[in-house]
Amino acid sequence: MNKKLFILTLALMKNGYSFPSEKSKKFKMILLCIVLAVSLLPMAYGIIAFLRSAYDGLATVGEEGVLLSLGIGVSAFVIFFFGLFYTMNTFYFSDDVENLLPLPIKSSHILGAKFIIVTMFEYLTACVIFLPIIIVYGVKSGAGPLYYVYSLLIFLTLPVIPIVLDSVIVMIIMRFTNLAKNKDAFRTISAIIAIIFGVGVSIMSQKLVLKEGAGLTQLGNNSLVAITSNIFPASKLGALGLINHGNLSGLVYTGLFIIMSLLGFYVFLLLGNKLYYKGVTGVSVSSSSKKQISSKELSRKSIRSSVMKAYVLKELRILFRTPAYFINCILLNFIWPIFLIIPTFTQPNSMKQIGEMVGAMQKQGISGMMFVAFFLIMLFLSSSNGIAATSISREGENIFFNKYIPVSYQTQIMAKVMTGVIMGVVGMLSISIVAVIVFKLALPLVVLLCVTSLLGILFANFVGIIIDLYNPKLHWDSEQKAVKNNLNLILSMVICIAFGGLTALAIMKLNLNLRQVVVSLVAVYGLLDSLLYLLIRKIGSKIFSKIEY
Amino acid sequence: MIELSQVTKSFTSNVKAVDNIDLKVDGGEIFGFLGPNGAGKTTTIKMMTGILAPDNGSILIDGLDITKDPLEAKKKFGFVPDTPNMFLRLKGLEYLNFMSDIYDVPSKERKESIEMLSQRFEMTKTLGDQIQSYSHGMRQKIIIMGVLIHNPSVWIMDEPMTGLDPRAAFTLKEMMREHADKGNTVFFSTHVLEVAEKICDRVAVINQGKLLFCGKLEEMKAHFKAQDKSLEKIFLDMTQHE
Repeated sequence: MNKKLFILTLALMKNGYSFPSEKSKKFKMILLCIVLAVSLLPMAYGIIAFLRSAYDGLATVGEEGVLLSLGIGVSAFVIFFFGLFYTMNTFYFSDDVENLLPLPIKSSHILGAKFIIVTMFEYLTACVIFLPIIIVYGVKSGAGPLYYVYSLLIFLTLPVIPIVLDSVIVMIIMRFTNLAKNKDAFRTISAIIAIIFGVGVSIMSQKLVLKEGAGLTQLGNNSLVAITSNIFPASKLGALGLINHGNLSGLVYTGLFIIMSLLGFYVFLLLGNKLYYKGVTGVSVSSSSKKQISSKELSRKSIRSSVMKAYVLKELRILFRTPAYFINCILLNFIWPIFLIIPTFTQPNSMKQIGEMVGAMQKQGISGMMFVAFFLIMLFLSSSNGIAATSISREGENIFFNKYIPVSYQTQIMAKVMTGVIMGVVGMLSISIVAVIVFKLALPLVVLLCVTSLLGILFANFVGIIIDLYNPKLHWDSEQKAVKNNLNLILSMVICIAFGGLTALAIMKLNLNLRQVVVSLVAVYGLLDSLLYLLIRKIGSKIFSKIEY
Repeated sequence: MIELSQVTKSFTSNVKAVDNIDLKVDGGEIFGFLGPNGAGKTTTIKMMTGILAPDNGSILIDGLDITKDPLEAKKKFGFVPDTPNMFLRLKGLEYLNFMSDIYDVPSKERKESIEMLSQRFEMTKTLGDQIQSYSHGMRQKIIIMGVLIHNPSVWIMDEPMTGLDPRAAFTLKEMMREHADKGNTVFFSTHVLEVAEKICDRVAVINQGKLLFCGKLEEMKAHFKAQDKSLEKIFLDMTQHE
């Protein structure tokens, strides 16, 4: 390896993965890792047991090789998926880029070093998925040492092609769109693309599995390997290399796999030299239009509105414009309807059946359980978006602002609840529209559903804000941490799921009809909401005033 | 007018961050609050603005008690915090309108204020951009504009000159003088002694939570028998012995 590349990689690694230097902290960290590993053991045991039985099952039809090709294919796909975010952040948005640009280093060196770092990180991913499969297959088939040598070679080169694909996609987006000038927009859009891509691939593989099921009669001699490898073409070579490790063709396949990976890396460097510098320069500059606002525009935009409206609007703007908040709190509300729509296109038959079933149920008078199901989905959606449950946490170190403005804590709390309710309602409406179009639900019924579910949405947001008021997570250094690693969100979800479960159980036990279900839901959740509201009125301001950064 | 009497705050049981402070700032004066790092300046300001509750004592803003009548008292002052990194994802104009709504400024007045302030601070071409695209000084300017938009009688500013370019700093000083000359109160903390020396009618020096001095600059010089010394020299002497 080139000396400069080596030094750069080492420096970036040290910078990126800071392992504590103090002895006591080191000890703590090692201890934590051991505890984590031990607690994961039962899961690992389960996975290995599953793989063993899968091997046995596949071996009876002579298709045990599927295990390997699936292992390589799935690893490659998972690496690709996570790698998309990881390459983006490492190549373009990490803080070191600004410090590296003025140094007299070739862009291929920066790229190479960053590529190696991403690859190292992805070995962890590969470890989790690929390693158990390799071991189970090796032990079960009684493979010789050559099998393990090939496995190691394939393991080491496995992340290369997925990361090359990631990098090329990211570099092209960065070079040929001016999105990069707006870091936020780029992050948001690429996250959406990645999610769509992920959903797309999972549907494709679903279809693949269905097709395979149809052709079960023509099995034997590892012919399925070719089909399962469709996800990542090169994974076929790796799988064939391992299966045939006993003869010369195994060496050829493994060699080809490695050559393809190296070729991919070379292509990456070639493209990188052309694309990287032009894409990366200017990333750190945020866009600004420097346009004077006309007097007319100023008059139009400077219209007085109520404190409540202004506050809710501020919350929504920040939620929509901050990528971490958008992905975790906003996007979630729109993903559910998409999950409902997609199967209608990929599996029209089964959806048609569901539609007919729903139609029949409606004719007989819809069962209470379906009504409850919709209510519970809304409750779950509203608690899982975490808008209320992280609303105080999201203020972070700027929490002092909430203290010195002449707006009562009660108003601020209610504005935060309102923001969550609004997004909950938006999610509810989008699901309702899908329900009316796809499932042909009667409109009056949907209206009734929405009105009742509103009480559930309120409940979820009240629970969320109370939890966040008691123990807000204000100390964070990236917005991601305010919403993603926030236990308040999980706690509020658990509470809402528990209440939802109890509700469903009670309604099932009592065997209520639709009218009774609606009345009892409205009564129970109406009462719960009123109680929670009174609780917030009574203690909310007091707790809020005591919150300190 | 700002009035602090016997204000005390401690974060740990044995150390008092602010120790029994009495302070009165009248209308019509610019008051400088001086002290080394960690002296208790920001803690005092946080108590004045309702961000922290004092353990003891009372704080009046234009005669209103910040702990007993917080909402009315908060309407009386405008506060510039020491870090301008707030609301980075809002556009400048959105932020100003948000502040106007919070302080209930009518449409016509806010439009006039926005036009006047953005011209004086040379921000007319940046109001349509998100605050995160602003430089440090521009962020400081937009925060100051947001504070002044409701035309509060009392200004409380924590290190307001930090990051401002000479022209903006000059404008701010000019506006502070104009505001005080109309009978209003300007209270600000600073490390920059030249600024205090030039524009303050009175100053107070705080160190380790205790008020060491409060009064006119000449009085300070007389008090410390240091007629020929600069404020810097007096300040260094005063805070060193602690």
